[in-house]
Amino acid sequence: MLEREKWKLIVPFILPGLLIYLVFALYPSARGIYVSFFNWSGLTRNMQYVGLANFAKLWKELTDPKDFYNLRIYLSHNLFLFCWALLTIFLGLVVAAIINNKPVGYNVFRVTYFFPNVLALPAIAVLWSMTLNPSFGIVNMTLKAIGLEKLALPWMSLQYDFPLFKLGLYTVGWIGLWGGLGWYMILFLASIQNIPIELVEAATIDGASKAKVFWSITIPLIWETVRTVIVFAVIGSLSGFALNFVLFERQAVKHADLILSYYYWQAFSNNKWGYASAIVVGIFIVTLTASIFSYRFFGRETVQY
Amino acid sequence: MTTADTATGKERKRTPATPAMILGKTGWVIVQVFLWLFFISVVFPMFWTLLTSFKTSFELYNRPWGLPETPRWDNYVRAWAKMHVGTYLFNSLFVSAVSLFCIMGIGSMIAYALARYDFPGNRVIYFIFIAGMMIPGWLAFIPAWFLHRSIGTLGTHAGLIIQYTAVSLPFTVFFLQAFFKTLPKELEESAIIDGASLYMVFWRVMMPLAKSGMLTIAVFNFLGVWNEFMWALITISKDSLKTLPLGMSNLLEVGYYQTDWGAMFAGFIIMLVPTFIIYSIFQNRLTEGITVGALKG
Repeated sequence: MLEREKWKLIVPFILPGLLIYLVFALYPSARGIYVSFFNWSGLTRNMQYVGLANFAKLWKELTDPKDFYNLRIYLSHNLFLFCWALLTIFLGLVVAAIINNKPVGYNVFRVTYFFPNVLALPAIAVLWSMTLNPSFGIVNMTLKAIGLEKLALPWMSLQYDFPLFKLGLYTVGWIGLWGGLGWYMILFLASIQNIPIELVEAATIDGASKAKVFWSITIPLIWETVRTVIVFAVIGSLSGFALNFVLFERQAVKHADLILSYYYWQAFSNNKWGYASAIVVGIFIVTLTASIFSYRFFGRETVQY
Repeated sequence: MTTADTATGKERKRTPATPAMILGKTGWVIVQVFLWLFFISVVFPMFWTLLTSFKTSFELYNRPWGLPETPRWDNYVRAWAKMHVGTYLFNSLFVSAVSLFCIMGIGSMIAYALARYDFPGNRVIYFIFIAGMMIPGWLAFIPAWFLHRSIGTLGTHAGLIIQYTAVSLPFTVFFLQAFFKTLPKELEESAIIDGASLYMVFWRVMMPLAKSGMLTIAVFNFLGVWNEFMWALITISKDSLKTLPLGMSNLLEVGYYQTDWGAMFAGFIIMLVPTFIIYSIFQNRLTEGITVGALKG
């Protein structure tokens, strides 16, 4: 093939897409990092370079318990959702291990459990708002009808006290579990099915018990997947926004706001674009550190037989 | 297998560990109960919503488990007319279709050129695209907002389509580049020897071979665009231009404001129909795409 003819395909095939990607995805990301060093109210064209002041302010809000915006409280909500995500991962692994043995109705479970993942977050929020509605939601109606009136709680309430957080935030955690379980299940299922059957057979012939096979062969071989999904859980629980945004639109949000809700408010209501950018850069740094940390320190434990 | 002993004794040992053996009896029962409870928690809310969408408000409060006396189709009529469900549906279909066309067209061309042609800069361009998979979307939101404002596409469907195309390219290129690499080269080479142009080779030889991979990533991208909420939320303010996820987030407000529960449930069901159809047809494609994206990416 002639060299010149080759370029006639390469250039028109790559260039348009590369330009769109560079201009609308990569440049704004880089610019986002850039503006986090500026004081910028957006509407005026003056950007004032402030160095690391935005990050210093972020740090101060995070560490100062008396701070007005309670960024610490928002972060604790993110952490709480991260704990729910860990529980979801654990349950996803258990379900995958069971479904892998193809029990009766296994395909129905698989397809049903994954279904919430194709719903838009606002759809999930609306579905659960209706189901858990205190006056007509089917959950409380059923609880009342079978005499469990005490359990018919105001599930969406951000006033109702529960250990550590308001009940509404527990509901967010549950909805996250409901939506995420199928996703983790699919990932674990794929990686369990990648384990060569000969390994299991060989170990069994050598006299290993079934439990030992699971703990000594299955778990180490899917360890890489476990590591990956934990990084996903970190990213996921830090980037929560839409669910809370739709669920609690009509309530005082102090008890449910997440870091990104704060970002949203700073950017689109308060017009502190530079500071808002610093918040997402901060989140980016944390998630990047989490991924690097996970690969650097847990990477060596990955087993390859 | 000569005796019953070897058949039952040794053979059973070779079967992989079943969860019942790992968990013990109590654990096994707990897990079974959990499996079914979770199944109900997914199916039942959907079923209840569907049922309620045919009820009057009176029936909603007073006969929560019963069937509606007569199916209230007028709920659907009101949802369509008053809640602009039709508009949202059309907007979403339009934006998703055009975005998907752009993503698949542009993405497959880039992936093909990167997978099949060796040229200086190939690795660099590939890396630039892959890097986009690691950058969180909201980092770009503010500058992209200003960028679209300055070129006049802020708050328009064009603004959505351009942005969706740009941010969907990394995963599409990553997935298709790997897919193209698995396809045999012989057919292309013989087509070139037969005198086909390079473009013809791409369209007539490569595309038919790549159908399966293209379909997987298309389903994946379609749902991504169809469900996208954040970017639409911060850019679209005109009600006549809103997409379904924005319509969904309005739904509760409209429902509470007008206390027209029947129409609210019906609107919710209408908005879910396309997702439901896509899922029932392409369920396997979707899980495949997710597995590749998460575990190999």
